[in-house]
Amino acid sequence: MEIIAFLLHLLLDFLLGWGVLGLTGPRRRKQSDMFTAILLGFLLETTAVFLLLLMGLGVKIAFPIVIVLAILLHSKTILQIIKQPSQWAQHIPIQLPVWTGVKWYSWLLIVLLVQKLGFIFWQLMRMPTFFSDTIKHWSTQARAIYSGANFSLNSADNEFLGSQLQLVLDYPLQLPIWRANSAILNGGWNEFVSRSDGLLFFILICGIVGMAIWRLSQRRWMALGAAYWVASLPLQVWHGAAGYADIAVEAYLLAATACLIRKQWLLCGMMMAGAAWAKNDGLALYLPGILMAIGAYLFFVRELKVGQEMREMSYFFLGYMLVLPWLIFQFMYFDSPISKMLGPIKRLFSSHASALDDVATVLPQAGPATEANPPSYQLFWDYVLVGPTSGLFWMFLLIGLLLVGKRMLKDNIGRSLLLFFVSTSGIIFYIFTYTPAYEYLLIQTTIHRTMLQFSASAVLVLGYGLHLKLMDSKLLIPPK
Amino acid sequence: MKTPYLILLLLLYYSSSFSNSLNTVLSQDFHSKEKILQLKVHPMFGGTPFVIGIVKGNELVGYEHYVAQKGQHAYDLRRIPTYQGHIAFLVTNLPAEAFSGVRLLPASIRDEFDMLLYKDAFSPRMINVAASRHFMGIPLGVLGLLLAAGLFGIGKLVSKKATIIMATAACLIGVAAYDLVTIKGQVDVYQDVEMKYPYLMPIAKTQQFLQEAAPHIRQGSWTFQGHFPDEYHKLYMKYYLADFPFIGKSAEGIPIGTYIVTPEPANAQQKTLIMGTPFNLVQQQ
Repeated sequence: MEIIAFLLHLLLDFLLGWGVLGLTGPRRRKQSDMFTAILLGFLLETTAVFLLLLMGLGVKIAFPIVIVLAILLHSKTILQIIKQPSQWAQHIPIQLPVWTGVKWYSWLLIVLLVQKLGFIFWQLMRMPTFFSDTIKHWSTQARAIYSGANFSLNSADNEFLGSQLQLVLDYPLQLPIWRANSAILNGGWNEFVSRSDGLLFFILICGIVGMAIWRLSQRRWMALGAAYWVASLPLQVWHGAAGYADIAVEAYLLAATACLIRKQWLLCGMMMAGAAWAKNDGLALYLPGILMAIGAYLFFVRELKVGQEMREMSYFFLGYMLVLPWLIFQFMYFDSPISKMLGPIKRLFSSHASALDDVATVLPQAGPATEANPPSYQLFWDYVLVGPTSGLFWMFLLIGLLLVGKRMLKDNIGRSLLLFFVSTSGIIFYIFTYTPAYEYLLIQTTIHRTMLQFSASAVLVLGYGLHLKLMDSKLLIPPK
Repeated sequence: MKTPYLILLLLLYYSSSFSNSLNTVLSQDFHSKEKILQLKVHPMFGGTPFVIGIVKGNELVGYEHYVAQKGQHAYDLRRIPTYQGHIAFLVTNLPAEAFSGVRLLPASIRDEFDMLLYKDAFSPRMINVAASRHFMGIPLGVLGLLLAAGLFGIGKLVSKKATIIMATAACLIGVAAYDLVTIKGQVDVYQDVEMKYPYLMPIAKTQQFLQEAAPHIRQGSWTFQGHFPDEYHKLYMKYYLADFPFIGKSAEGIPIGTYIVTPEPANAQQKTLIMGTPFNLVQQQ
């Protein structure tokens, strides 16, 4: 039953996202948009249910309303199917890719990818919800929303955001709401429902990376290889079934990067909204880099005037508005993640003595080692670059970027992607050096999860560089 | 000697990280000389995650996580960056009866493969960090990089394919080689979990208790009482029972009829419903 419910939920998100993608512009929807459509549907579904919860409805009423909205969005098509099914079928925009002439090494990559999927699926079916943040927050909040027993959005209630259960109050509700909706579709809560979104995000990540690299390289093995490269990161299969939000941030950030390459600013804004609505990292760590990248692109495209640049940028913010209800809600009741992130900088300019003391203890972490605190650059080297968790991935990626970086600097999008990569890396370094997150670098917890969030997007950045090199070597058919 | 002071220090250091302290001394007063550790582990302790710590002077200067393998196996201490020079104590959190043989010796090729392909077991750490694997003291990631570089060099010599194509293919082979070892670890976890299904260590007893307690709690509200030795079990209970109204701490005390999960025996105002190990379910009267 849970698998049928999962597929129905996926279909619902696809219909929502696909329908809204059709409304966003005259552009013809392609099969590569399918994965982004599901992510968009995920975002729209959870945002709509959040708004309905804010209005005082229970999730068991709010979710059916969203299902009805999805059906209404496609009412014209549904009527068409009922009236003339054969005629409608001819207009299906999706064509399955041709699988003739697949080389043995491509099959090998497919087998390796299927192994990853199988391992995730096995975990979902056989292992209980176990990992600490899932039981500390994500799935416990979801279960509270689903049952309504320990959850309220009214700040005057004891059950406000599950506070009786001592959950993390300022964490976004996207994943808990989706899991609660899954439980409704499933007819009850179970361990599969508790974490199945991880499987969905894993599939979307592989799909988006594969499709993007296929388009950039025109080579099936490279597309499969890129998907496999991301999937083979040792933490990836665990996050595919753990119930954490890091894989959700990874998927949204990846989709936003793909939209940036295609210059779809509105959709890019929506995907970044999804990242912020999944976990605070989406706002604090990745938004500045994406904004800089879009800003740099618009600035360097000489034919655009200032007014046009502003208009193009406004599309991004229009898309980003999707997360505004949550950001306002968060602002009303908690410290904003941006405020927390800027804490060390604000303290630098503070005259408060104790604040200066804090800076004095935090700043040396970036410099020479003290007896108690090794410098963060050494920790980044030991744990991230040479460590077992993602060391090989980042070594290959950095070497690759060094080789294609010069070529990328000569291309408008390439330059923006490099800026996104460098600025985001800088922000990650800053966070894990100057804020209390340093501890999570020291004990190797959050740091690897943060690097995982960033990994799939980094592959696209390198993929674009490879695309430019392939173009230069005349190994690609130029676009018509 | 200094041992009681040392143990106190270690207990303080590890109180926040591990449920057990590092109070078993494996060896003392020796020079590392790149030696590896060979342990003969009692079958009962096979698959148990444990920690080995390095003490120099009176200070714990480094530690690493391992998984105990039944029988005689090698454990790579060279993974610990501070495992150099004179070592005062080599300590672990496993009890002394877990081993029947402890030896420090230079690694043979057989030991190198044993340490590379050691049997992994499920651990909560897997969500944050991957198991560290070395061969000949070199991290596996670095070996993957060297393999790719070598393949690229050979490829350039024997093939006329474009550099970019060759480099991409070489990197993918390096990734796949690394991944095969990762997949082996996943198979180990699969076997480990299936063997204990449906219960997962270390929450197996909590799972069993909750299966019995949930039908009672379904009829009302619930809360915790008493000191839990491990907060993790409380978290798991909060997740498992999140469907039922939870009563937080309040000045009025626990309302009559509330179900209470506690590691302690019932008091005079409480009726015991389930006497379990390590938790009890009682009801406030």
